Amino acid sequence: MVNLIDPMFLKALLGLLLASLMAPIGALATLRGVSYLSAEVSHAALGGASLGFFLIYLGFSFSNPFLSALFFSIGVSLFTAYLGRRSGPEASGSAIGSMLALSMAIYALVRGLLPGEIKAMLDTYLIGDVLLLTSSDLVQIFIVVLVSLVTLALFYNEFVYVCFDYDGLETMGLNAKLYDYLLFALLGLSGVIEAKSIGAFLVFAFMIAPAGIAKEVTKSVGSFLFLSFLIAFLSSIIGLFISILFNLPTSGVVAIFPSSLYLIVVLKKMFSSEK
Amino acid sequence: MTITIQKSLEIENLSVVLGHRLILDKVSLSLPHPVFAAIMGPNGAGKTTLLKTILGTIRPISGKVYLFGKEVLNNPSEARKFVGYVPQRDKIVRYVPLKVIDVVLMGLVSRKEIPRIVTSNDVRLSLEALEYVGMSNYASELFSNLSGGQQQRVLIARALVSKPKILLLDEPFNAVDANAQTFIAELLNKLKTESNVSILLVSHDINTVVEYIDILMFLNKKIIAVGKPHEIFRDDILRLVYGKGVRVITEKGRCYALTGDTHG
Ligand SMILES: Nc1ncnc2c1ncn2[C@@H]1O[C@H](COP(=O)(O)OP(=O)(O)O)[C@@H](O)[C@H]1O
Ligand SMILES: [Mg+2]
Repeated sequence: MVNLIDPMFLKALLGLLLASLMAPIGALATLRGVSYLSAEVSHAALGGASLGFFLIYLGFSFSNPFLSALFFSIGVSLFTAYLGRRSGPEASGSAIGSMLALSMAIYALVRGLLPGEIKAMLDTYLIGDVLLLTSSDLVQIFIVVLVSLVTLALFYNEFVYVCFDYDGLETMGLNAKLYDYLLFALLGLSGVIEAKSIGAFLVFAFMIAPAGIAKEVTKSVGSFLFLSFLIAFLSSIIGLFISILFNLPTSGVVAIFPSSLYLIVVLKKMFSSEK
Repeated sequence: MTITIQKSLEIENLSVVLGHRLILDKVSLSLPHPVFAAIMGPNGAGKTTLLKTILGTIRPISGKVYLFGKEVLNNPSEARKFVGYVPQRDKIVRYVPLKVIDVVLMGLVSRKEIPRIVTSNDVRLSLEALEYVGMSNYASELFSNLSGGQQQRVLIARALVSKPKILLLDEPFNAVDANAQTFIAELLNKLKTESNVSILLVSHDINTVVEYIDILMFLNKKIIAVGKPHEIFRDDILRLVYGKGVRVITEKGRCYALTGDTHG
């Protein structure tokens, strides 16, 4: 039976709530036309975490894999923004691809060099287990989520405007470039949270699928962002219960719901537009 | 009594380089106020670049721009207060689900200091601007659900809501049906004659506004000709702008330049 006050269960619940709270940022990425960046930044976080663990292995005890994941992820996101601004969306598309490859290469290389117990810790950034989140993990995640959501709330209009009409905004005196980079920095933060809580491998289920589903049914930006959160949260909670009841791997079950719902939405759309 | 003629826009020897290519070559022009001016030129002539340089978002390698006597390049925010800008509509990301009223509010909110709070007065002004372009019934519709002409009118409302003294429009007739083109042309003329707003539009096709235009300029990297439309719609000039393939047809006072140039 599920023990509802089991601290492990409560921590998992909190972890999924926090991971879902970043879904609106994935939704904004969709509006900005870079939905797949959400996947990229969490893999960048994985690459960054690899470097952090590697430093620990080398004896640099000050190294903090969470922070190196954070900086790496933000760095990659801002770099993608810079390339897109300089050379157009195609350039940022190929940048996303090559940075993804680079991040995974770093992970694969470092992983091979690490001893078993550190390797296992690193692997949680690839396929996480919300049931194993510690209190200090949750505190780290909470701080980043809080910073992200406060930033989102403060500059909500600016972010939406930048997505809608960058050129026009610049001429009205708004620092469009600043808000665009800030939005990409937030995306970087979302990458770390997803990698830390559910693992880079499953980020699709929290950042891309919910937005893809919500987009089809909402008629305002606010409801689009909120529904993205709701889909991520509810489906992951259902997944958590099922995984505990049937003793299945939590992350996999959690990710299956939004991913398959998204697939249905996409297929339905494809077939209805063929008619 | 001295009469000073106010200039809405003055450009001196403006040259712009983008990606190591010279896009604008020593462009100069001077417009009175109020004026209805249009810039024509083929695809890639530098029309959009010129508007963005006037607005201070592209930096020229040389030259100066003045809007109502204020130098733009060193102090863009001061000069931009006078300007309303209607960007090329195909640059707008239409799948961002914004309501029409929110699009217009953008014209006020983005000019504010942090925190950019929307007041009831902003909403009232935005509704007035929508009323002016005949779109107030659509205030709570999604922008993306409107027709091309309707979207264009909303973007004009967004530019007008801050009460500019000059309106810059980039290809306002692109993918807009004939009726809406006429509506927009009359609207722009009304702005000039009744509200003293100067109009500067760039377009590859000016037939709907030709009767209102005070000053027409042909641009292809350089200013090739400036004058009244009937003065400069000449075979020899058009050939300089568009190349050899152009043919000019004049019918009922309207000039058609057949260029085979479909604009993107
Ligand atoms: N950011 C840029 N970098 C390099 N070249 C550019 C850039 N923007 C525009 N151009 C080039 O400048 C030329 C003029 O473009 P544009 O001003 O958009 O022309 P128009 O609006 O008249 O069609 C084009 O050849 C275009 O390819
Ligand atoms: Mg153009």
